[in-house]
Amino acid sequence: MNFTRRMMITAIGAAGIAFASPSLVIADSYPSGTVKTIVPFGAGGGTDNWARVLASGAFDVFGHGMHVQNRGGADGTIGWKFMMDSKADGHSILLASPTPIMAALMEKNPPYDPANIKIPAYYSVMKPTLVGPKNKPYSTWEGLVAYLKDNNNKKLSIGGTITQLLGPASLLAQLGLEKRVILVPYSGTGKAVNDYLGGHISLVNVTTSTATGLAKDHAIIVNSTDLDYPEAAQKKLGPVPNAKSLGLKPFNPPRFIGMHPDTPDDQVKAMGEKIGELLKNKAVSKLIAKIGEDVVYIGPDQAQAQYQEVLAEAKKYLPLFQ
Amino acid sequence: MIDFDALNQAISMVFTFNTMLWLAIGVTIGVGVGAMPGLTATTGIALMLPLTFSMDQAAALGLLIGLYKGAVYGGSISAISFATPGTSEAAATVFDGHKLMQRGKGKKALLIALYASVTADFLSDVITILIAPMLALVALQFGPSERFWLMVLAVCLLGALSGAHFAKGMFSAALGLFIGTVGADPVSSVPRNTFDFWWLADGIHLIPLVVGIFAMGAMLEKVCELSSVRHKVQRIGGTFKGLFSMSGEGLSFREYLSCWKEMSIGLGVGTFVGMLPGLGSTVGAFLSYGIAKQASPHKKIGTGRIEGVAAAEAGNNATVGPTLVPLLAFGIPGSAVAALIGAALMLQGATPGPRMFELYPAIIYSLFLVLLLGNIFNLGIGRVFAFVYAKLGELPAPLLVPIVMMMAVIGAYAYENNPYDVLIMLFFGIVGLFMRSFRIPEAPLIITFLLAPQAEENLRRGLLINEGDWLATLLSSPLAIGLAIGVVLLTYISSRMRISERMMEISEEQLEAESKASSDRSSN
Amino acid sequence: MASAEGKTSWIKTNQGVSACLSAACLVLIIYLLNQEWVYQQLRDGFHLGFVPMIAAGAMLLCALAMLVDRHKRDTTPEIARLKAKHWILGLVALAICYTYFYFTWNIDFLLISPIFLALGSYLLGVRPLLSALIAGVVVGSVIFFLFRIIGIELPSMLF
Repeated sequence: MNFTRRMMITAIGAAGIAFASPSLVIADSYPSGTVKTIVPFGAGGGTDNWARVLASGAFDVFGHGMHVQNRGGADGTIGWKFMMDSKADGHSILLASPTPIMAALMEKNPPYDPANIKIPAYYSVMKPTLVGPKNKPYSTWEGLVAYLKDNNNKKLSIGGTITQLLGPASLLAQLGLEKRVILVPYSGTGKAVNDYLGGHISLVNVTTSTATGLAKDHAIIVNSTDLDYPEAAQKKLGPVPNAKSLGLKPFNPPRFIGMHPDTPDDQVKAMGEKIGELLKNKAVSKLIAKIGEDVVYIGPDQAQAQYQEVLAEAKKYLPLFQ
Repeated sequence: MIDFDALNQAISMVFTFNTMLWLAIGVTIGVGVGAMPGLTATTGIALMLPLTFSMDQAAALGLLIGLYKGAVYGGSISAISFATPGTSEAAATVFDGHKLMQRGKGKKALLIALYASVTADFLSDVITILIAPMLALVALQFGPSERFWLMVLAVCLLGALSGAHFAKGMFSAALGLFIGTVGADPVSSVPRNTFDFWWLADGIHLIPLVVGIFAMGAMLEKVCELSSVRHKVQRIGGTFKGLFSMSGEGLSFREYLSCWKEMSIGLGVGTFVGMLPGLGSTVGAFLSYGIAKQASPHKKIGTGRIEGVAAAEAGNNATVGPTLVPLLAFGIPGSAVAALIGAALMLQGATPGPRMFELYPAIIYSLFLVLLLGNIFNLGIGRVFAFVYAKLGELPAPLLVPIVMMMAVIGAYAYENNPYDVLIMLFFGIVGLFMRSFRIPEAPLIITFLLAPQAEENLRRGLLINEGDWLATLLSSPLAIGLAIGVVLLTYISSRMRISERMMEISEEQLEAESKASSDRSSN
Repeated sequence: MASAEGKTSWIKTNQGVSACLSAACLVLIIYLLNQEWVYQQLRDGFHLGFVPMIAAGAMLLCALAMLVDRHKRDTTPEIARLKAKHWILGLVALAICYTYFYFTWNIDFLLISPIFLALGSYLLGVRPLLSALIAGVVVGSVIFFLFRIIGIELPSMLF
């Protein structure tokens, strides 16, 4: 967008909101300016796509724009630190995932404490999905558990990114079977899937969209969260057990909004509610569906508590990778 | 079997003014992005992606694919003109390209870069179109063990890139290996070798490293040269005249054809490297360059030869089409660019996956047509840029040096909006100055920096999967065994070649000494 | 192997430079051996410091080889030409570049860049100063708007 286009849209948006709902402008003056939206990864990744999609609807909901800034590097820790160094004025948000949390937990002297952040909302939850070959004893969850319980069987290798691998790791650890699998971390899902399709690893843990691509010829074994898939994905994946149906504690790796820990609570709450409205915006919803993602909104009342749970789970299972 | 209905549909979508316009815009922006140090095809595509939300399918593909092709070629323009690789894959072009520019043959160098790029790109696109599913199946055979041996095979080519002083070449390689260990352990992600700087946990990025060593190092060298020149006053009033003139030594068709061997090497290596996830066009460029140098020692590639430029450029551009192979065949993006193009396809309603050819044939055929047409646009638009940059490369050094330094600083920051990348780039600037002064070759450093961490990652991943069994890890398949044999053979051949070269040098030295002695005797 | 004409000091020969490199590599190895993380064992049995130590050791070996190989008495023409002042100049140039970056990103690209370009080219010999300034404004503006077209924002108070 060039500067003249942005100025025009700002003017039209501001004028529209001012004339359409004067009471809204007076009573609801937050945010009062552009919201700095920090993406702790490079342009083009999943989080960046989300940021740009959300930013496309910002004028309608906030009355102001969302200025997306990529601050990638060091697995998201640089962007997180950039947010921590910003003013706690309620106008800077961080769009993050568990990756910078894991990166900080791996460090002896992390640049920030991942527990020290305010969470206005979740906007989505990744659904780590375990995929394997068909016609094998471990092509179903029950078969997998039985297979692993038999110590005469060879260990199985599961590939995926560390964030994704925490899903099956946590489920199997609850059954005492975490030592019967070899967790093989990859820097990207694509590489893990490549090795899986080539037969170099036994199973692979992937995102929902990758799983739908593999569903025709491969077995979809388990969804590590307690959330259902979006309807379109569910049709392609068929019935897949999840942590809830198996009576196990889920691992729900969130895509969340973060704010500086000194941000006033009322602003955190207001931002959480605004994000909820933004996610319901028609144009934004359409784009979200187009990029193959789905919305899982958890508002300010619950997001912080759920985040602390995710943090505790991550700390618990991190030693499995070190 | 060709689906003629889908093909007709694709033709009617692609051959429209709108698509052609966006293809031209894409290539133009791409060449400009590629020519700017620090900006990459990935950055350009990511930033243009939101524009495609409201475009039709063919136009969206035209913009993005055009940008990709333009950027991969564009990096060579500043590599040749300013010794400043615009993209990391163009670093291998600097060795011969800039030397040609310094001899007043900049236009020739730029033209061979363009023609080699387009030739290899076009042919690799044809290969991709014809046998993408077959290529994808070959790519799947490469697991951790096979990839480990492949990396080792590539590193064995270091001997050819070490230059006359072998120990310096090996020092460069060891330095690259050390720099590659800065960051996170590839298996456990635990930070290592970060010198207590938390921001080094992500390692040293390729762009700041390449920009620092090549661009900043070259500019620091020029600063030192200029400070030694006594009468350095330069009037630049008339400098910008003739910017668009066509003067300068061009490239004959015969000269283009004389590089057929190097272009073939680039095509083969680039196609192979492109279809394997994770390797990238930089590896393609350096490997092609190394193999071409090894294959034709009499051509003295590295001393300012068009063959050197052809090999490097063919090697990097030939990766463009094949990079899409895993995406088209399985829906797995093998590179960041492929992931972005996959995202663009999804936005257009075509979810990448194993059944893409079946479900979205018109979009696939459109993609193929755009891949082929993009080369023609690259040829035309690239020529214009080439002529302008050839003239810019002739700007007086006192003007050029601050401009290139500015571009290096902006590029290093713009890469990931990370201020620490600027620090890294500046640090490697002084390293680059030292390497240039001490004549330590840069190519081995880049190769080990790129490949050694991947070799370590694959070896340790293989060991993890095989529960510590070295034999099972290293010799897990006929392909792995074949590659291991290849490593042994290549090492043996390289050593023999070095020994024969050394023997020839010794006999030449002896002959020289004898003729000097006899002329001394006859003068006495 | 290209060699400088005339007598140059030993420190500038391959042997001299390699001696310095060897010392630097030795210091690096000693530093690494004193780091805790080098000895940390990971779940696959490797030690975290294994590859870095191999690399540092290889660097030392190569530097030592350069001390004694057949090229030890050669001096590269480039090193022969360089004096201490050139290295200091290089560091100063880098410091100026970082200062340029700092001010650009905290103030304004369009304001700072022409000043940097003009001053830099003037110091390197471009005359008259006005020409240097004009060139700086033109190049800075072109780069600013090119980046803006692509979608990368360079800091600016005006646009």
